[in-house]
Amino acid sequence: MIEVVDLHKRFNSLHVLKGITTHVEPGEVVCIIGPSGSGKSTFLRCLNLLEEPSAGQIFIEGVNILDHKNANINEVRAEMGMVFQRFNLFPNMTALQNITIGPVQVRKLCQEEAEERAYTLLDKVGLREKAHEYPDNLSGGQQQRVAIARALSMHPKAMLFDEPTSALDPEMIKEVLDVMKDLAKEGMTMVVVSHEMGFAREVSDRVLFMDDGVIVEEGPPSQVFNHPQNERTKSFLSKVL
Amino acid sequence: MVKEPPGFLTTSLSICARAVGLYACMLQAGKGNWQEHNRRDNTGYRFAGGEKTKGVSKKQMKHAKMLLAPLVIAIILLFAASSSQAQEIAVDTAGTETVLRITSNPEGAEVFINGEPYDGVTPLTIRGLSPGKYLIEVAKARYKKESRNVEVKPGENAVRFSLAETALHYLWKIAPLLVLGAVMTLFLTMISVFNGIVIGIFAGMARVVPARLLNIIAGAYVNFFRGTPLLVQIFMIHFGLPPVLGSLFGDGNPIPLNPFLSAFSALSINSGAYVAEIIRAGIQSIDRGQMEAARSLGMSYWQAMRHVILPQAVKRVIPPLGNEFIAMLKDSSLVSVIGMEELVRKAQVIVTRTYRPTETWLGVGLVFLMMTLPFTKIVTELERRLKTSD
Repeated sequence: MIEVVDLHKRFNSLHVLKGITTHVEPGEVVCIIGPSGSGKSTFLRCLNLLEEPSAGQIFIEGVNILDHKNANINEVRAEMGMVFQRFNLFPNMTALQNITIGPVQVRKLCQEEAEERAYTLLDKVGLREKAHEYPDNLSGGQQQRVAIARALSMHPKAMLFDEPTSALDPEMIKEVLDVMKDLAKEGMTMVVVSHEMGFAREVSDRVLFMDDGVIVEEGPPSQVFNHPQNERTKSFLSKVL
Repeated sequence: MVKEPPGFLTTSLSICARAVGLYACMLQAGKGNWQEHNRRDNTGYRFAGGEKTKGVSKKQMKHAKMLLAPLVIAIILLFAASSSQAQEIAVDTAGTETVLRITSNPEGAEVFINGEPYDGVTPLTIRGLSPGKYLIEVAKARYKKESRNVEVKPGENAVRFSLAETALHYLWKIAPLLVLGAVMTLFLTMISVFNGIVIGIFAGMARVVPARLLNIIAGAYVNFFRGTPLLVQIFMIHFGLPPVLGSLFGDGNPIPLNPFLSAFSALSINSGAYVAEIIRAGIQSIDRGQMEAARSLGMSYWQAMRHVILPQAVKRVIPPLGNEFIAMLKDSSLVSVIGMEELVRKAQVIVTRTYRPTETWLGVGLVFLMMTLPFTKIVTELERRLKTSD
């Protein structure tokens, strides 16, 4: 479903991604782990073009999204739900409005239909009663769940999670991870950058270990966590587990 | 009658007649008929003899009686024979007596002579004053008291007072003119800031949109108009533009601009540059994640701007816009130099007429303060409210 070929990203002189090649199958949950500054988030942001790759190719369902003649950047993004570390809910809108604005503005849904869909999503993340609250009145965990609902409102083909629990208090992490597990069970294609090794081990189909802009090791979680092949993977895992 | 050939009879007659005239005069004074003397005043002002005047004349009359008593009988005969002649002589002598005319601008001021209140108001003609030095004061409600030492000589004397309003009364009198100027200032500021907001929204957005050429053009505009004095900009438009307009659209002769058009264009363009910076700062103050979140939903740049960024930026931009309005209210005074009749120009005109710069400029300051203070309050209140809702 997602095919990445020799992806490079440079910020001026800083070479962040040094040739990433990988693929994500439909319904697959891929976790990207690795030390800070290894390029995990940059790689994820390249997948929906929040960062413009410097070189390489990204195919989504066979379409090269870096070929601007064939791919509309907004359509690409609409098909890729994104959840941010800092939630990035729109503070001037209620939870419900946060979830309806995408479908109404981009998918041109009518307001009633969008709201109906939004309530279904709020049920899914367990926040129907918070529909008319503003983000400032919600806890971090609740905000992140609304943000997941917002991303899902576009009926994306894949979901990208950029360290979704890193900004949360420990007691709120579980409620967000539970929502993500439910999503995985429903067969959503997910790419998750996370420091939650428990989640990666339990939910993911495949784990990518990235360091210094390259994928050092990849494989099923049981293999990567229990029998890491690479020295850097070993030393990283020995510190975090 | 005065130039009669001298002769003993005529002389003695004349003396007697004068004495009779004076006596008659005193008698009349005793009756409190001073006004008879002033009937010929061309002013039409009359005054009745007050207590003080009466008292004085009664005293004089007593002296006169004592002096004249021996003469009375002899004179009565002559008086009876030539009463009409005596009357004429009396009028004649009044013509050469000491007269003091006191006038003031404005009229209707009370008069004090040597500190004593004198009956009647200006313009006033006082007769029968003995020559000498007097301290004359005139006072009128809401005007400053004026005093002057006057040397009263025999014959005609005239004193003219020009009364100045008290500071408060002066301010009250020029207030309508100042208010008229203030209305113009307010009007000019409002349309300029309104235009400034329209220009500023475009220029401010042009500085942040991902389009290099627009960034450069908007940046040049903002830097130029923020980096040069408003006064110079006013001159550039009012005096610098007419020749250019003339060579572009006319026969080569300068096309003069009217002060209002120049003033309002200069202020609008200047305000636009400042508002552009406010808008740019407002947009850039919104967390980058907001734009990313909106774009990640598939919104276009403009959709994200319109639905996500601008609604949040507007809230942050309102207080600085209020401050811009206050600043423009004050800076608009600069257009007085091209003859735009706003508050400051009005005050300049008033000062050239009244020669009272102190009160006038103080008044102008107060009028500005009365305009800016409410807006300052509103801005503070807005800032407070936006802070709590943020």
